[in-house]
Amino acid sequence: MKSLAAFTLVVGSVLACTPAFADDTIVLSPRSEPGPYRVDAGLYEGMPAGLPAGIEPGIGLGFTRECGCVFAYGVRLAIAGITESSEAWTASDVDTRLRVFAALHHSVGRGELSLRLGGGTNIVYEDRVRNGGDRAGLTGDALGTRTVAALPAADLEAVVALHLIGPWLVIASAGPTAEILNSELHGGFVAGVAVGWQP
Amino acid sequence: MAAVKCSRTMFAIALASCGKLQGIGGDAPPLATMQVEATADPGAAGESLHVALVWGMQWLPEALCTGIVAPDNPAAGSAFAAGCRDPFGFVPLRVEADVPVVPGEPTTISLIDLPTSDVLVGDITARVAYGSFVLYDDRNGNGNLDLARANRIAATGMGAGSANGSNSNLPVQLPDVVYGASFMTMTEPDLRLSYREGGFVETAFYPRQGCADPPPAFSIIGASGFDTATAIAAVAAGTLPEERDLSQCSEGSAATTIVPITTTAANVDAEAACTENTADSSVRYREPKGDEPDFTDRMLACQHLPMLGSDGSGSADDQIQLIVTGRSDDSCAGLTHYVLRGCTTDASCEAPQWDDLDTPPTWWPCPVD
Repeated sequence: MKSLAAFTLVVGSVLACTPAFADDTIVLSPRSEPGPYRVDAGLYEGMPAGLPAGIEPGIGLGFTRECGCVFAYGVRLAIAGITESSEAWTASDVDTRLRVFAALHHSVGRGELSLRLGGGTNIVYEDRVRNGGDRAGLTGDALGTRTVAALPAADLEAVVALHLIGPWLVIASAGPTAEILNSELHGGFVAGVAVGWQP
Repeated sequence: MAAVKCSRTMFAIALASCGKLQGIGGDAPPLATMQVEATADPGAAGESLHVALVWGMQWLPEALCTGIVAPDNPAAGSAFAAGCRDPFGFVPLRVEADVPVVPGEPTTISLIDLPTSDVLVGDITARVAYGSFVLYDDRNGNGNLDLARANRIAATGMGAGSANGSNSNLPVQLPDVVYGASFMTMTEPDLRLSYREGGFVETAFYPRQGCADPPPAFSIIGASGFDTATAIAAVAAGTLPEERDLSQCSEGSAATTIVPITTTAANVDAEAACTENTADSSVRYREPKGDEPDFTDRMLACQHLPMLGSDGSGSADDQIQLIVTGRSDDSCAGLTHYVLRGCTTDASCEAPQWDDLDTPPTWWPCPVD
């Protein structure tokens, strides 16, 4: 996660200093007038919503519509999973993060800096098993439980995008997240690297 | 129809969102529960009766205490009787759980953890642990059955320190008073807690020859016990002794089988709380160096070193050892061994750590040749 944040900062610095290539550069020229719609997909990682520790890896997808030059909105989906253990329990969580977001963005050369605020739900599927329960002959709820919970959640992410070739771009994002877990505020951090397509 | 399906989906989502995530926190429910009952009240003043679940140790008695080696003289016979614990008795390794009990009322005792690998006997594909329920009066009020060890004399010559035979800090007097156990010895009927992982291979680890295999996981199993003479003959022949009465074999649920613990007189069954430092029948020999040790209230006897032949019979080495029992008020039986020549772990070693045959101490009571 730290490396992802560092990557975001470095890319941002580079973007601020690097002018776009001239229009007659054919090989690595991004589209000069990209359309308003963008889809992206890539790697996601973040702290699990239902567990006190750990970094869960996963995948993320997004759809964005840009309105003018400073405002965008869209939806995002991320699915990630992790297994953590204590002395008595082993819990495997799969988090499905659904977000509707609004973003402010600013173009710098071929790059783009954004601040993205998303809200939605974390649907958490938890498979919780009593350690040693199978060896002890436990069955049913005594051995383990499966729970699905939908947690209200919100993220605030800094996003750096770099238009590379034609409609293709690479996007990095990172920022804090929070959800309501069992009536208590639970904080965390999310980050991602994605490849985008913006015809 | 589509509206109905949509409402069902919404209802399912609503139900799902009500789930409470617990993660890896929260209380750990017991992995097993057992029912125990003390049959009678010992009636001691100010008693605090408890039952402890004690996992058993895989233990082999030293050669002199197997019943195979004959004593050289009546004094040695008396020393064997006073200094040897029941060779077929249950030897505790670890106290795992504890619960206060009221005599005549079943009480639940719970296990939060599985038995660890050191109490399991066998390989990873087939291993088993046995536990005994020990009824005791928690005299020191610490809510736990405190184990004790034999009162062996500390070494003073070569090998002193590590060779004192008591590397633990366990007391030689039981702080608590034992009033019985569900599994005291393999020569008497017993009910024990069994924990089995994988397959089952009958070994000499508290065997129940002729009974059904213990069920997987936790269970309460019973056996009639075997005759001592039969057992000694079986040991000499390298076989397992048959149970006296196979109709007394039982295999029951750990959760529902009530284990009665017959209340006995104070500390008659103290061995249920006497553990051992060594489990492999090995003996720590001491050099009779310096001044006479404090033999007060101990029995002394001279006995040839045992050398077990291939037929299991005892034949004598030429050296005579001095064996010393514990004190009469000790909780646990045990022998201390002195030899004039030998090593800490082997009195017949080829390169002796000490050799005092030519200059035995003045207090040495045994023949030198």
